[in-house]
Amino acid sequence: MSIKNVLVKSVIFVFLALLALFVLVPLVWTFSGSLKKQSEIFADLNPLSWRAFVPSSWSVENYKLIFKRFPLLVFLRNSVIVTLLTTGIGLFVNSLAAYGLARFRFPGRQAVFVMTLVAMMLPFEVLVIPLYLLCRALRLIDTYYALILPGIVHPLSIFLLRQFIMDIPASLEESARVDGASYFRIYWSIILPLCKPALITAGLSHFILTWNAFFWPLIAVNKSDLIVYQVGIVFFKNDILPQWNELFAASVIGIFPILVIFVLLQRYFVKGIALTGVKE
Amino acid sequence: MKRLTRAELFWGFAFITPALVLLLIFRFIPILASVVVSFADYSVTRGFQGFIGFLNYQFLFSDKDVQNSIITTLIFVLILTSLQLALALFCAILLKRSSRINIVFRLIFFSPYVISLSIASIIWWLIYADMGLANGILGVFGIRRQPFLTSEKWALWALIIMLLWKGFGYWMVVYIAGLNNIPETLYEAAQLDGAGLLKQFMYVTWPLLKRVTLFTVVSDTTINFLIFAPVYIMTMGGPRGRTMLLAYYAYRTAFVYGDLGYASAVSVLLFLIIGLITALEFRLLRSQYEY
Repeated sequence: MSIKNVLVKSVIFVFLALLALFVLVPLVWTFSGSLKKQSEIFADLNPLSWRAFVPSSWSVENYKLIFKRFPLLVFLRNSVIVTLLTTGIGLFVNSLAAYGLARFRFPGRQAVFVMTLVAMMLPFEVLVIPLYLLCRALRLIDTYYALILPGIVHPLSIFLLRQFIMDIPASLEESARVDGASYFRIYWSIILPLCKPALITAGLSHFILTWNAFFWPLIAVNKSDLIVYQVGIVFFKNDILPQWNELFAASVIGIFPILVIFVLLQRYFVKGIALTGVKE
Repeated sequence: MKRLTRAELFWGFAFITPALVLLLIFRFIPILASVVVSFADYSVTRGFQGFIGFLNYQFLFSDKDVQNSIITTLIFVLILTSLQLALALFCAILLKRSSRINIVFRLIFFSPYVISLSIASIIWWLIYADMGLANGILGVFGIRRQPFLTSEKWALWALIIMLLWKGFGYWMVVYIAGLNNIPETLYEAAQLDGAGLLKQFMYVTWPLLKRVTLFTVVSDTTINFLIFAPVYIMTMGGPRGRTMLLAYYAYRTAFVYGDLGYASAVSVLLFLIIGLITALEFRLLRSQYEY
């Protein structure tokens, strides 16, 4: 390697390392702060010392305290219920639609597919006010239905699964038809098992989207026993005199499940992102 | 083509019906509803008071707050989207090859994406606080404390930096997928013709990446036009309207002032702006190359 080459490589590496620092510092600060006393957090910042990014003790005092001070456990329960039901029902509804779109030539199929694409480009947030009007008219506000029903259809899932099913050879299904299996039976015992990787990809991004949702759950419910975690933690922040260490602990709890799932399944996740961007 | 049997017709419809019904009720009808309501006098407290024609839209065009909000949103989206995508593409080019160290960098850059916007906003609210981390870091360089989120000059930039942190890793992953779709032989040919790195980018990477870029630009602009949580959590639109993005303005009109009719008009305006910009982007970036 020439000297110029080495120089370029090191400049690139320094740039990437600095960027990685920029990305990681807030997260490390949050995590170590969640294990400290409020006074310690301020002492480490003024003046700034390396101690700000290292947990001083491994005391989980803050974590115990926040559940006593605020109904975060209720919020957490609601988030789990809403996310699991939305994603679970979603996997079924979305894969059914994907199968229908991939394999059946009924009139209007193209129109439905175009609608899916339009909905995919249309983030949920744009709909919040009209959705509120609708749910108000249907008397769904302040119910679990308002939190779950609007999120079940996940256009991205339909799109990914449809692409995947179209690549499955039709001969499998034809021989099952000859043996007298119904279409639903084919979907259930042939298509679904073959779709497993795509189902994981689709389900994962649906799960993260639902768990992280903020705007709609903020509007959809006011009753405190229906509030989900992402909204509840903001109410916690707006509560009288927020304690930083407690806010950090509450943040870590909200991040933790998603981070674990992401690290375990990131392969599938990245694949899904790549497919949406590159395929037509 | 096979002839369509009655059973196929029935099952085809049966399979898509649940998704179609939910899609119509919770995505498409609300859009129509908001257009209808934008012509009405409709408030949270008094309920529906009848249609008033274009009155909401007339207010819209004489409302100084809306004008400020539109300009703020356009500046915000333009800066944020270009920074996010430029940084994403740059990192994608640097990290294209899947060596071990590159994969670690990619994972790090991507990680903020999985954190919810509400929690990210809380963390950055603490970073930007008077006694927070950002001022701690400035202190190391001997710079005076800055009032980031309450400064008319810096508040919008504070939001932009935070969202750059949150989002560029996602678009990087999209770009890496796009880059890996470009046949390696094209680069070899370019090198044989004596093209340097810059020329390779201009004549191979950029033209062949147009389709991916169209996707990233359109999706990222749309997402950024609808940013809400950070404003709600960190600035409430202040100081003096400097971070009053349209999505937050619409929210405030509907749920703080309770004017659903006017808020719907603002939403429709937001729709139209997004639609217009998307159309513009399609025109500018339509690919002339196929491979």
